Amino acid sequence: MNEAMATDSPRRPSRCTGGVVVRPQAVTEQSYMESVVTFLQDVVPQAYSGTPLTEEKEKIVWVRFENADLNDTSRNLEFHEIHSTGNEPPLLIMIGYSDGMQVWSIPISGEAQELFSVRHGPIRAARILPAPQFGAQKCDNFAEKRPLLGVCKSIGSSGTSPPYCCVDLYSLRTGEMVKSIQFKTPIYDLHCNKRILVVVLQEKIAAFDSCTFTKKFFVTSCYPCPGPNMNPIALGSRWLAYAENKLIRCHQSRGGACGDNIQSYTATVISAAKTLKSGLTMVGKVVTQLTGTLPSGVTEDDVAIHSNSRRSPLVPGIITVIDTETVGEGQVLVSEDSDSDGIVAHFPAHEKPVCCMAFNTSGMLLVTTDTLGHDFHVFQILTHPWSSSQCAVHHLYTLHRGETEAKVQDICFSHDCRWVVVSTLRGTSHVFPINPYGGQPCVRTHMSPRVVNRMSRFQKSAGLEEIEQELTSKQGGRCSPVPGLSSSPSGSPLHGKLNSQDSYNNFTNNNPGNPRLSPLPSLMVVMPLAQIKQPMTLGTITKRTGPYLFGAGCFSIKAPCKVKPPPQISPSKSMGGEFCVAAIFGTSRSWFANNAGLKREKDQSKQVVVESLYIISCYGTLVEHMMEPRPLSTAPKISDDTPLEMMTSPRASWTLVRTPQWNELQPPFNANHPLLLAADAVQYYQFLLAGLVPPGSPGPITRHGSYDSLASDHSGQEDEEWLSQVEIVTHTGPHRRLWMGPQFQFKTIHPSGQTTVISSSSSVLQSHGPSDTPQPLLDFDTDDLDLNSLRIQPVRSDPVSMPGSSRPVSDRRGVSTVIDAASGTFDRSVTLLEVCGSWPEGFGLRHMSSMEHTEEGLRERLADAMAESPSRDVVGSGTELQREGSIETLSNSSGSTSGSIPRNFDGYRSPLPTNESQPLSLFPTGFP
Amino acid sequence: MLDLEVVPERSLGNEQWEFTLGMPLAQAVAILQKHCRIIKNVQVLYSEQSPLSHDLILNLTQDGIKLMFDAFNQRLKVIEVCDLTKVKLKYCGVHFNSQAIAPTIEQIDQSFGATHPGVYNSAEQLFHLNFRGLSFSFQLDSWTEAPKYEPNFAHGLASLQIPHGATVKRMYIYSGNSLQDTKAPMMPLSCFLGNVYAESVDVLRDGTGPAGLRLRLLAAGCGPGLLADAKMRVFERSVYFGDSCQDVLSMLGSPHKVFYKSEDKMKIHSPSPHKQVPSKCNDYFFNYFTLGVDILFDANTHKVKKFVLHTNYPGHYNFNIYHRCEFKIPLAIKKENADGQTETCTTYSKWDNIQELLGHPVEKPVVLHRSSSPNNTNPFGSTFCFGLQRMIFEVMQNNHIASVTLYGPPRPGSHLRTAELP
Repeated sequence: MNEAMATDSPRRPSRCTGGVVVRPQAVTEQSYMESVVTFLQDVVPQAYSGTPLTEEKEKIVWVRFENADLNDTSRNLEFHEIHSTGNEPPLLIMIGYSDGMQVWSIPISGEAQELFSVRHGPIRAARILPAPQFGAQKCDNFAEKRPLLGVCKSIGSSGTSPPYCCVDLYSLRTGEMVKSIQFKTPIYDLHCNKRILVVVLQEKIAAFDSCTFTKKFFVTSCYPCPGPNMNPIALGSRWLAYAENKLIRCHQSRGGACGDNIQSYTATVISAAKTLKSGLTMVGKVVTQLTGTLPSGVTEDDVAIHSNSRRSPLVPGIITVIDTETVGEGQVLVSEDSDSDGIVAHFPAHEKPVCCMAFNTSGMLLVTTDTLGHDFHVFQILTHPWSSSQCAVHHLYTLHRGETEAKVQDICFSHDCRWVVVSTLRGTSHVFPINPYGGQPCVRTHMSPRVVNRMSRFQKSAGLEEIEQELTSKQGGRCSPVPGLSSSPSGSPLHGKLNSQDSYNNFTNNNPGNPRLSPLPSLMVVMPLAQIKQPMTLGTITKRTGPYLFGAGCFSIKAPCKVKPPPQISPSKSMGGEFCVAAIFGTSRSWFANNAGLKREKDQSKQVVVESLYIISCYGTLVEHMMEPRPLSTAPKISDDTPLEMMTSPRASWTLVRTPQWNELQPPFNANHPLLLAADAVQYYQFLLAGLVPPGSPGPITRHGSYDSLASDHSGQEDEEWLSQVEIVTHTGPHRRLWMGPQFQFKTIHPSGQTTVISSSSSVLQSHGPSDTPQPLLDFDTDDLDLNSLRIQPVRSDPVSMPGSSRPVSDRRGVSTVIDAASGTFDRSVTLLEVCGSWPEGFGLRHMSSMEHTEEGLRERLADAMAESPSRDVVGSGTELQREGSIETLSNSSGSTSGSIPRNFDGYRSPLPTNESQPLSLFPTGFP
Repeated sequence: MLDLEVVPERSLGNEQWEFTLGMPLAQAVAILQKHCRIIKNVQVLYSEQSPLSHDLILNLTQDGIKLMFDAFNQRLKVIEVCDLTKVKLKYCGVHFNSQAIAPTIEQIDQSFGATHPGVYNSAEQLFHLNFRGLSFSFQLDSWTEAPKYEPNFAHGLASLQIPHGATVKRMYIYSGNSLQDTKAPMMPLSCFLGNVYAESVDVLRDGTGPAGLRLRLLAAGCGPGLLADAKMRVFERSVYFGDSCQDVLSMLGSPHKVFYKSEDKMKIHSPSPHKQVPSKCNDYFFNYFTLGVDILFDANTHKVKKFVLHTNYPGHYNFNIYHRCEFKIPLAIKKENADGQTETCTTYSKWDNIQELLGHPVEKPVVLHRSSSPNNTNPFGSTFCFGLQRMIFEVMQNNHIASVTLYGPPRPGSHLRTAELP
């Protein structure tokens, strides 16, 4: 099998559902070596002989991974049982050629399928538009035409407009062009989500409604970037982030970039001074560039654009995040006198112009890079529902790439947001570990298959979070303007832009809760764990490379740079030194290629910690890289906090680049074309969501049952379904609950007459019944010692809450006591029962013994209480329960058998019919 | 000994902290916890059986102060200083009660000025001297003095006179003119601290069950920026099942905490045949503590999957974690005469009443122990979960609702895909 694969051409131009199908080729380190050899034998003769190649490749201009209906896990019903049925969404790849473009889908089976291919001139940007969100009020004008492909071609549909000034929307179903949007200036990029289509122009952004393609809003105050992305933006499910050309104080969010915290990594970064210096020249360059280009461009229909008051210099490095839903219509203006409607956050992110940015999958994090490309910033956006000035932006990480200048072209996140891959124009992809909540990436956070909470069990039970908070708040937070930074250019906006921390410290004093005002988390500088390179030197030799040289994938993988990275060959100024690459995380598809040859690898059985990383290069080769993080091998001892290192290895490759011999694959497509099927499925889902009847469905679909069916529902089969929906733990509790004491004691007030405290429905007493704990008192003695030293809480409760008891003793009887007549709150007699905790004990056995202990104590004290004169014990029936305490743990290990056993159900006075209300215990093993 | 400034109708506090009328319970607790080295032995007094019948009281036993919180809205209603010997008090910066200065009637008169005549309460045997938002109760020195100040004696005129040398026994700070009729005021602006609170949370529903939440939010700004003006904003926001993270963040702001679910124990009850397969990523909760709401997001789609509303009754395991969520949930009731009728379940509804309204018993409950480790028990006993119309009501032993979990409709694909999809 394996042999057959090796000899077989991976490319099978079989046209099963129209397009070409490409099987993955196994890639190992060994085959990497072979490919180098092949190169030497192969390319040199070509260069000299000049014989025409049998398989000539077309030149790739850009590559991108696309998110469309086809791989929309939330709306495509195909994927709703994801991860359990192995029904993973396919990777969708778009390749732009010097002539036309191509779309590929790579499903989990690994068989890449060509879905679309045209040759009609160069295309600058293209998107497959996702089916829009619509509702009862808003209908989709293009429903029967979808899926739509938006392209920006050199020659627009009209033919008269200047190149790249027109967005054409083609129906992949019918093949016709359904809409064309003209602009006066060239288009740089297209972005879309299910709400809007965003057209990125020079210093401008225009957004269009995804249902009607009518104009929604536009932004004219973008800071230009020298490239590769001339006007970088990030579009999330709802938010749009762009580089603003000014900072407006009244909208400024708290936080933002923290002066790169130079002191903290002088050890690893050799020359901060050098960085700054090169930055200076960079700024100068950009500014001159700017002044040259500024007056260009008016938007499509000459709206009276608010003059950007050119007198004030443009400020680089500012990010504005707007809410595309609430920002309204027309021009989006961030100015002193505008209200903050629709502005989510507004903050300084870099000192240099922003070059690239991206939201993570959930949309809470924003990664930005500047034109230098030394350091990338990871921001957490903590919004306020009303105003951007109340929003906080936490600078969680500085991802340090290196000292040389590099332009970033692509940023991608792993699905669980623990890995960021930033790819530069040199073709290198840098893999960084991060946590969505900040903090040092380590063995604990990145070696488990699932995301762990911020506080480990240990940290939580030790109460370290509170201590940490207290410390940071005492220091006044981390992010006070770094004085050292004032050596940077005087015009540098960054430190001038920083909020003064002092004004916030007052608020944080008694306010542990508010995340927006809590002290900023400490900034981490993270080095890449792996750098995956493209074969740049080889690539520059010839545009037309041998067939399987790059098919096998050529790259060097570098271990993390604890040492200074070896000097990199600086890219030539020509385009030849620039390599378009794109990366994405996905489930491994290499088993198909490797299942025979790599049996010894046990990676199929063990749970994968990191998804595979797919990188497509400008050679049209998609390579799957396996990533295996592991504890730092030089670490003396592996603990939770041990730093990581990473092994990466290529596993499979797909040669997707088109040859001139291939036919085009153009719409109209069959109804069973994957893109059409996916669009149908998602549109259908949208109809269901909107509560509408999908067109063409046989009858009215009643998604919503009537009330009748509802009420009788509980006899149906779905009965037990709700059980799986019960949520037991919803938050990370404090390390001590309030009722665990010792500062607080809980006392209950009973209405008069109820004097039998023991029979109260509190399960405490029952679960400590004599039959309960026949545990041997193994380490009773040591435990007792421990107890004594720990116990802060008084062993017995004070006589209850009758201050200034100067009233005659004779006047108060045991039960009827008026605590507070004046406020009218205690007009009834009360008895008090104390329910409170004590210091935590160690573990199970000791707990048992201490329970026994307290039970003894309880009896004694009860006897005491009886004997005492009522004057001491205000409420005759009041008694005290010493609870042995409890550390609660992060994990909800509810399989515990000790303690509470559902016998207290008897005490539950429910008016239910008894046979109906048999409790279903979560602790079936709990009965002794 | 605490040295505190009295502000009538407003607060009791010092430079670092202040108990303000209208302050939410959790904030008062946070202040106490922050100063746990100074303020010890705090009692939390509540009624286990009927938590709404009594105020919730924080009794600072060492400092002679009681903080009374409204049982319904859990905001500070009355500040009582019940033992003036344990605390120093000042008014407008001048002490009127300390070791050196006894809080006599003369001292009060000098510090606070004139007011209405005192009122004698024979049941308590105390004189009450009332200012707006501030009352003093005077203890009579001896039993013998009492009779001649009976109210029927000379119709109150005699009771004008509080005997010389009488000292204040208790002091109350409250809102309004009368201690008896006082209510906890709205939350003062100083208590917002940039947080967002929910005045009410309405569960929106469609035919099958809950569809989302409509929250009436209260927010006040702090710090520089557009919201710096001292003004409270009231606005309504809605969130629905299927909303993205950014949708929720835009509507409600960022959560206080994000909690990543570890393994899902309840999966054992799932009807899905694939329940044993460990999922690759974990769902996560947005904890909005001040709203009393949790929102669960699906790990794969990052869309809202569940809402959890918390009532924060004392006597529950999670007490004082969440602010009370004042929810209104319409329940579909099946009745003979009218179908499609709904009844409303609120934070204060009792489960037995709801069952009566429903007219039929709810199926077997799930017992929830919430003792999360072997060395840990839950002193409050277990709670019971009942499933009803895509909602799960967690009911405490006193029949009050501790939390409500709303979950989205079963994925429309599960039964529709085979039948309807082309």
